[in-house]
Amino acid sequence: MIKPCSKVSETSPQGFLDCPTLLECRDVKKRFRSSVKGSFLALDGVSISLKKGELLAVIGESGSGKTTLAKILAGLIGYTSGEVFFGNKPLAIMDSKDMLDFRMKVQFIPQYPDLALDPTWYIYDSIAEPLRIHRIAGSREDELEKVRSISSLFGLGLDQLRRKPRDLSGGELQRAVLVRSMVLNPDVVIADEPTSMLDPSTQAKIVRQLLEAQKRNGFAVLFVTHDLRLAMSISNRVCVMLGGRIIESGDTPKLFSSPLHPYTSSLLSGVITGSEVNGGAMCPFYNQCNLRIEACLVSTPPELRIEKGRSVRCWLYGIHY
Amino acid sequence: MEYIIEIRGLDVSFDMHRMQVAALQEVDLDLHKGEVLGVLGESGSGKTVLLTAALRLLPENARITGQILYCGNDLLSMDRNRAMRLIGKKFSLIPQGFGSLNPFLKSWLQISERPMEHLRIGKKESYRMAENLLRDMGLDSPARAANSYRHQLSGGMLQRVLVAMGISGHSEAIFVDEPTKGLDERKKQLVVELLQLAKKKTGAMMIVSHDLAFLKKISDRVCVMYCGEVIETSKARNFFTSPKHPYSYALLESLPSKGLKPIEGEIPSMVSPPKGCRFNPRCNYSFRRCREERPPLAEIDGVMVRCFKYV
Amino acid sequence: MRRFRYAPTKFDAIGIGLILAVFAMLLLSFLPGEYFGRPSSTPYLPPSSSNLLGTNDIGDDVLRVLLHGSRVSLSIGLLGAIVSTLIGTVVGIFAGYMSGTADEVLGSLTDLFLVVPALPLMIVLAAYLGPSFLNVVMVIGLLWWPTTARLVRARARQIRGSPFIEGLVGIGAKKLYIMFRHVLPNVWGVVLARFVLAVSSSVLLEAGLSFIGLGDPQNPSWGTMLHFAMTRGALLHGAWWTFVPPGICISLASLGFILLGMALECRYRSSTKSIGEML
Repeated sequence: MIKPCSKVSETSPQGFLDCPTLLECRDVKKRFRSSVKGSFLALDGVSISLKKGELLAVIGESGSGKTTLAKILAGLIGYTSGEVFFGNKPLAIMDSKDMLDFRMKVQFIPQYPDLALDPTWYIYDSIAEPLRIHRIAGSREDELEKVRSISSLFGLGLDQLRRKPRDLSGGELQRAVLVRSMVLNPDVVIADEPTSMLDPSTQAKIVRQLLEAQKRNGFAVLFVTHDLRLAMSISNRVCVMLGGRIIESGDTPKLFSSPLHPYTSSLLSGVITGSEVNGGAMCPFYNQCNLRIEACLVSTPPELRIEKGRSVRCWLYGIHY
Repeated sequence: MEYIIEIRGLDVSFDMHRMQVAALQEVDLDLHKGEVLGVLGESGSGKTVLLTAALRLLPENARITGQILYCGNDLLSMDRNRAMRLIGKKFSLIPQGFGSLNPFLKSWLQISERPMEHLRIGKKESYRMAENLLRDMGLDSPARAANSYRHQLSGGMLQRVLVAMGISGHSEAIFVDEPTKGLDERKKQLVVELLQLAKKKTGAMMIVSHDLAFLKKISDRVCVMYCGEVIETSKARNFFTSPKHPYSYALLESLPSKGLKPIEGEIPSMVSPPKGCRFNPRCNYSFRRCREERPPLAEIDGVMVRCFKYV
Repeated sequence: MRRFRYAPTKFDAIGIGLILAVFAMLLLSFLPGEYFGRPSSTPYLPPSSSNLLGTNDIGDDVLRVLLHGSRVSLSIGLLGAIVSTLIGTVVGIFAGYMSGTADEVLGSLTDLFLVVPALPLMIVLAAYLGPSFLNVVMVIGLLWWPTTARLVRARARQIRGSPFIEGLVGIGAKKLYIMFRHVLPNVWGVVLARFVLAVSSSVLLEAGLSFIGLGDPQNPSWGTMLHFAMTRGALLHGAWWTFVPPGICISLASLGFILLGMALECRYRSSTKSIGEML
């Protein structure tokens, strides 16, 4: 197992709980309306907080809402209700100066490397662009120096910098996107399944580079993935999502050694039934759960705090409360 | 051992602007009757070119030498029309990704495209075939799915449509292109089930993928490609427990479950690949001979390996 | 898996050739008078060794007038195309990227201009504003932009849905910046193709306007030559050399631009197809 790394690191993941919260959301709901597919509730009351220096993994299948959550936290899409805070300031009331600061400090890495960068721009310019937008590029030489040094940390040389996206492989492109997100020295990096489209050895490389950068600079990472084993090996804390809700969260070693929610257990054991996820006012796992009780059909279990930093949404634990 | 396809000395390179890109070099490979062959490789390994070559779908600028034998007939040296008709009749393809589905056609038409065109099956019967296939794959309302367009279908349904495209009408061999790219565990499981179903309806399957866990579940034999060459071919069981080639071993070690250990160096450019063994710059075991000579494909304990460690 | 790739055909070559020929005429027109036939005092002289295309109704060497006319026709064509493409591109990018209210307003504006019949409006405007070089350019510019706007808008909308735009918002780029530094380069293919086609239409339009007498008489274009030929009795004199050459020039010039424009359109369409595959 790779040791998760950060500046605060020698303490156990519990240590993160006392760190300042950089980015958080409270009871966020998101409804998508489309003329083709009708209305769809992607997030149904999600609360999450990202602490300084940690790597928080958000695990879920496709359709669980994890990408929507990531984009909302990154300020890329709006939300229907709830609140999102960056360093205690709500996103909703930020003025343009605050927003610019937010955009500098919070970076997003998308899932598909092929279209993440403008196809008509050279890689060098795409990487230098954040510097130029925020006017910290300095002179031509300063900019060149900055871009070159960060790029080489990630294994991108001049040869790739002077090309356009179509000439680069998926792995190289994803690295370029990673470099671009590092260039402003962010406090938070939100990575949305950054490696699911890549080969296994490239995956390993990119994840390693991200972790090393985190060790160097101390930023917090929100890592969205469907790959359990990947989350297990790199994260400090984990949130498991199903049907637009977080059904369990806690620190990595505890959650994986003794999962609370039946869904988490089924993910770990690799047993997957074919049934669909349930929507509406009931537990989303109802159809597939073999521990279900009557209450699970009647209403959605609320978030129950088992201990500090550990919570679960399951009626099985409601008995004690 | 009955062979459905025998590939002998296949060499493919592409003319690009001012340079030649060698995609495949002297590839020898067989597809046995009744087996699922997993062609494992990363980007740039040539696995997709191999698939495309077998279906004679390579673009104009491809320079091909070698043979692809089907029942003794060389598909590459045949007259193009005759080859395409033979390929259409005997082989089918499960393409990669939902983007391969035409957004303007109903799904049953796409499923029936091959039977209608190459197997001379009429419209009505094709529709019924498509509907039955979708039902066999576990859909509750196959008629509705068959008459839907791409945007009206969920991910799981689209997965079934793609596989149905490959198994509608009998085929001697099904070629599958990267079926699990970007999918989560649940969908991957669905693909495994669907392909197991497909296996029963055909002579043999060749699956091209970089997904190790997936290939472990479904292949009988595994063929590993690196930089345009076949570097290891063995029974799946043996491969995943004790791979022989250093690259195979390193690849398995790069999985999260084994510690996410990356492989040193980069995948080499196909414009000027390394001399000698193509993996030597990144290999922990390389010695001088590896840098000078190209190792031949040799048999060790029933496994074909291209590595001087074993010669 | 056949890829639709643009390949140059002989029509493109013809198109380019014609355009080059027309520009050659333009260059030749700058040569001083001695190289071509002197004006003669005799009107309607048929082609001869001293006047290669004969003379017109006031004794001017037709070839001379033709070459000078190329200047006018081409410059009006180019300027008109520039104005209309500019307006169309800006409107299209705004409508496609901003969507919502801006899109609706601009869309209605576009439809309005589309619906208005071009020729009658131009006649009215030209008659009202007076025949002048600038007015003709403006009229062409104001009436030709809607189709370009529509095409640019469609492409801009497609681009807007691309992940890299979201990435740009994420690094703090503002709307206008994105529209002109990122959307514009990606719609460039459409814009260029439309521009060339617009030149062709402008040349024809200008010829039409001048033919009915609304062109600028101080700067006679090919259309004006046709106008004078008709109104000053060239037909009666059987002086075909005064109207056949300009007619041919107009046709060939606009044909050349159309062929080039269609080739460019083909090329941009094949490149968007490959992006489409990725999307």
